Amino acid sequence: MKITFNNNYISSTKYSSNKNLRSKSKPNFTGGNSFLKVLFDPFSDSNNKAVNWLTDKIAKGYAPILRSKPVEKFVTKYKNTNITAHLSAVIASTITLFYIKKTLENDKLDSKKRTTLAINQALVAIVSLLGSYKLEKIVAKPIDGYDEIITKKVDGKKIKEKGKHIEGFVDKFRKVNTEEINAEAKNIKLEDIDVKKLELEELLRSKKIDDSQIESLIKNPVLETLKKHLSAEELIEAERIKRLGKIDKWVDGIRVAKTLIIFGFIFRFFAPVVVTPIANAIGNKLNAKKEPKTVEQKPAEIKK
Amino acid sequence: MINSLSKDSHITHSLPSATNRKGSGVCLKKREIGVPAKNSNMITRKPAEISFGGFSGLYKSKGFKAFLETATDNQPVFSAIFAVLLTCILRPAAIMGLPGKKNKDDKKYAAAHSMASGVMGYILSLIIFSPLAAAMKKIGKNPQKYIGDTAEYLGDKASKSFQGTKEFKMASSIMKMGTEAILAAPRAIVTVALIPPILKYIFGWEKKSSSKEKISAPQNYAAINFKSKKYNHKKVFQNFMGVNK
Repeated sequence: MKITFNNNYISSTKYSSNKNLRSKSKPNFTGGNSFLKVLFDPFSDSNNKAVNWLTDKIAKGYAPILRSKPVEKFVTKYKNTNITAHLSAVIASTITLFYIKKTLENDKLDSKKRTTLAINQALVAIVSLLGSYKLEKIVAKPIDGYDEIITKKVDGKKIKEKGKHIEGFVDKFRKVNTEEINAEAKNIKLEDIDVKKLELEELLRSKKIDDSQIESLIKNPVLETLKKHLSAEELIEAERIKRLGKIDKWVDGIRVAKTLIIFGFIFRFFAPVVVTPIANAIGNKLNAKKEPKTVEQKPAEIKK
Repeated sequence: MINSLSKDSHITHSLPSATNRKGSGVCLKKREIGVPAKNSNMITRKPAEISFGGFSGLYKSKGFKAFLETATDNQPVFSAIFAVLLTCILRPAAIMGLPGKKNKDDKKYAAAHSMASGVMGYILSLIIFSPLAAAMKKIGKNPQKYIGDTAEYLGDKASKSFQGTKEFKMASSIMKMGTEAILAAPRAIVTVALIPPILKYIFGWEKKSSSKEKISAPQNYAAINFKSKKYNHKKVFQNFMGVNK
C-alpha cells in the first residue's frame, strides 16, 4: 500500500495567512483496492505470464465441456432455475456424505454411537437443506420485490388479481445506480472512454459505412478513427449504456450472494452450532432409553 | 392530509418567503383555515429526500459493488470468504458464549479449530477456484478465441453483452460450482488433515485429553466379577500387576 503526502503543504501554509486558502494535507491511499483484489480474485486481469498461461489452458480445457451436448441440453432446459441454490445444495450434501462416512469409520466410537451420529448428521443435513430453500424463498420477497395480490369478489366468486408492484432492494438499487450513472454521464470526457469495451456495431450500422469498414472498426476500435464516423454525444451515449450494463451484473451478484449467504449460514453456522447439539442430545437420550441396564454399568459385588 | 402535503418539498418551496421563515408560527395551509400550527418548524423543513429504507449508502458503495462482482464472478471464493466470517467470528463467539459441559480449554480449542478450518477452506478455495473463475472470465470476454463458432446456444459471441446472457451465466455457474462439488470431498479431506498440524505448529495448540474425561472414564467393574465369562481374567490381572506379556 502506498501512502503519498502532498509536499506543497509546507510552502502553502507558510505564506498563506488565510486558513481557508491553505491546502490541507490529505494522504492518498492507493493500493487498497489491489489488496481487496488479491483477497477476492487474485487471478483476474493478471499480467503475470504464468497466470495467463494457466488460465488460458483452463479456458481451452473448458471449451469442449461447453460444446458438449449434455451441457447444452442442461443449460437450455434449466436456464431459468436458481442454479446457484441447487449447486450449493449439491456441495453441502457431498460434504455431509463425506462426514457421515468419516463418522461410520471412526474406531474411537462404539458402533451404536456411530450409527446414531451418522443418522443425526443425515437428518440435520436434510433439515438444513429444506430450511435453506425455505429461507431463500422468504428472503426473495424483500430483495426482488413482489406484486401485491388483490382478492375481489365477482358474482360471489373470489378472484385474485395482481396489484401494484412493491419495490424490493434490487428495484431500489437499480433506481439509485441508474440515476447516478445518468448524472455521471454528463461529465464523461471522450479521452476517458475505453472504446474497446463499447458496443458499437449497431451504432455504426446506422451510418452509411461499408460492412468491411464496420468490421475493421469493431475489431480494432481507435478513438480517433471512430470520431470520424460518430459524434462525441454518440460515443458518450455508448459509454453510458456500457456503464448501465454493469447494473445487471451487480443485480446478479445480489441474487447469487443472497443464496450463497443463506446456504453458508445454515450449513456452516446454524446446523453445527444450533441443530447438531440438539439432535445429538436427543440421539443420546434415545440410546440411553434403548440400552438395557447391564451388570457392566454397576459395580459388581465381590463375594468372599 | 394537510400536514402530509406540507411535508412535500415542492409545496414547502412554493410558500411565500414570510411564511417560510423559521418561527413564523403559522403554517400557510393551516392559516387559511385559521388553525395555528403546532410545530412552527414544519414549513422550514428541508426538501424531502427519497428514502430507500436505510440502504442509500450501500447502494452507491464501491466496496459493496466489488463484493457483488466477486459473488457473480467467483462463487466458490465468495462462499469461502463468507465462511471465514462465520468460522472466525460467529462460531467461536457461539462456542465460547454458549453454556456447555466442556471446559474452557476445550472451548478454546474448538474455537481455534473452527477458525483454522475457515482460513484453510478459504486458502484452498483461492488456490483451486480462482484460476477456474479467471478462465471462465476469459471465455466470457473473448468467446470466439476459446469456443470458436461452436456452442451457439450460449448466445451471440460477437456481442459485448455475451457475458450477460442467461445461458452463459448458467454455464459459467455450472463450470465453477460443479467443479467445487466434485472437489468438495477431497478439499474437506485436505482441510481436516491440515488443521491439527496448523494448530500445533503455527499456534502451538494441541488438543489435550481433558482431565474430566480421565476421571469420569467408565470403570470396568465387570472385570473383577469372577463369574463373568466375558473377560480373560488372567490378562486383566497381568495388566493390573504390571507383568510383562
